Amino acid sequence: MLVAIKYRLSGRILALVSLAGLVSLSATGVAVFAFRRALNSSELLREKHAEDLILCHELPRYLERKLAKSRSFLITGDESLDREMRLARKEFASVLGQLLERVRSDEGHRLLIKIREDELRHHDILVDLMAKRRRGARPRDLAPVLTDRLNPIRDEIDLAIRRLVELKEVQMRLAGDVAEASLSWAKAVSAGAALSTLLIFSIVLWLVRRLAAAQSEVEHTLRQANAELDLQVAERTRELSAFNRELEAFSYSIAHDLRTPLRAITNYGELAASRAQVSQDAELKRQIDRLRSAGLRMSQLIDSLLSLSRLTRRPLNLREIDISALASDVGAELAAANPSRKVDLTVQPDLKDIGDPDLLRVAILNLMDNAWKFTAHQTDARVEFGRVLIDDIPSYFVRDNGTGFDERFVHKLFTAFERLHTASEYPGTGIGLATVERVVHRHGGTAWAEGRLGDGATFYFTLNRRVVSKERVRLPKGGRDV
Amino acid sequence: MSEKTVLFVEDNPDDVELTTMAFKEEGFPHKVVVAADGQEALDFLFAQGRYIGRDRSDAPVLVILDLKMPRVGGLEVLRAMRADRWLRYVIVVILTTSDEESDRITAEELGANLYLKKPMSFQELCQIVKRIESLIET
Repeated sequence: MLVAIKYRLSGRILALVSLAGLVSLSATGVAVFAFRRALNSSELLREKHAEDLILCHELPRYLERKLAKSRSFLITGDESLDREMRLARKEFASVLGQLLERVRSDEGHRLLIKIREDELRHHDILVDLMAKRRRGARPRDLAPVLTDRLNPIRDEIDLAIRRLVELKEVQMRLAGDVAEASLSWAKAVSAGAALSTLLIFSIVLWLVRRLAAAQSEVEHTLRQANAELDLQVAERTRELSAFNRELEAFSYSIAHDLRTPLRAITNYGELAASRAQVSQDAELKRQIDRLRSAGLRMSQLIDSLLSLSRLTRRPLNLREIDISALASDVGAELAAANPSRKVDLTVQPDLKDIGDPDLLRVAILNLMDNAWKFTAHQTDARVEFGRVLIDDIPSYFVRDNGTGFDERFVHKLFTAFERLHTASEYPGTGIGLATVERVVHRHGGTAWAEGRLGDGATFYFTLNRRVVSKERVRLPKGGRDV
Repeated sequence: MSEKTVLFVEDNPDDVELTTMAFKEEGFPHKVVVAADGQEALDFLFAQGRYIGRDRSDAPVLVILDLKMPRVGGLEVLRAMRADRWLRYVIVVILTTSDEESDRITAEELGANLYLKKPMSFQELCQIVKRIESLIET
């Protein structure tokens, strides 16, 4: 019983755990996916910041070049330098423009705007200075403006750029940190998932083993119970067979031994009868006749018993038999033995089966002899032999329209020596039907009868169809005892 | 020597009496010696035991042999007889209650001349005696 509960429970738990495993696996998958996405985006961000940084570093370079060119112009007044200066400024403006587009943060934007404005101021002053030079101002006079007015602006721009660079570096680091964090998280989650999967897997494995163990335990218990039952059945069967054999041997030897004194009775009876005949003593003769008649009856009974016993002792000799032919033969035999009787016998043709021909002959002879006997007072005696399907089992029958029997005593019919008629009504030892039953049982079949007083009787028998069912043990409802 | 002897081996006194009566009824001309069991039969046939001193060469012309006897049975007597060079030609008629096929076969194999079942009627017993007589005559 416990085994059954364990079995059922283990099954449920297994299902649950497997489900949990599946869910955790999917959750893990989703988590890892999410983290990978975070990782990707933060790496992209990092790259962007790195590029911004490069641009930031380009700003002062162009600025420096512009300054250098313009300073040279202020000194030499070479117009090509003016052009180069403007080129440098264009580059500067382009980079600044790119940065302005790329940089999204407020602080960055503010810094870039400041840089642009400062540069504008710076440029105006520079342009003014360059115009003065063209007009003929001496470099010597322009130098102080450079120092006093342009340098501070330049410093501010540099500061702003430096701040921007710092900002970018921080942003880059942040993005890097996020990426790293995402990566570590992803690793952690993957590791966790792997571990939990392993754990769940081992639990599942353990449960499966438990289940298998429980199942095999159940099977083992069942097998044991069945084996015990088989053993008991075999034991009982052995005991029964042994008992039957002993009984057979015993009744055979008794019947056989009874013959010896019986022989003395019949022989001496015969001798005494002849003497009585000679003596003219009528009463003596009558008494001796009664004695002899009793002895004869005893002899018949013992003969019947012996032949019945012999029937069940010898081995079954199974072969294919033409049952119709057998029945017809027996009918002919009975007709020849009772020439004064006119019995209409019908035998169903083409009936074939497997059985012991000698035993079946005796059985059919007994049945048909009965039919003959009990139709003795019938004017149109009819006996029928055939085979029908009863509950899908082929059943042979001998039917007569004779005196029948009282259905109340049907259970006595097949009992040895039980008779439903007195000897004066119908002769017989009462062993015929017991013989039929013995023969039929040896073939694995059953015999039964139907009849009504005054309305004939039908005797049925089957062959080779006894169903032997071994009840397999199902799990008991309570306790472990089978 | 001229008078022939028949050995009748039978343990049942009723059967002995009835068979003796049958012999009388049929006017059986030969001397009948009765042995009550197998050992007595062997003693007689081999001139031993209570029959020491008997002339062994004076063998019976026929032996009526019952099979089912205590201690020494009929088949054992038959076997002993057929092994002896004097007795192997003695006519043996088995007269028994046994209807076991195996007994009949063994008796035949051991060289019994006739196997008869003890009859239920005196008349039949007389017929058997007649048959035995005719066997001796030939």
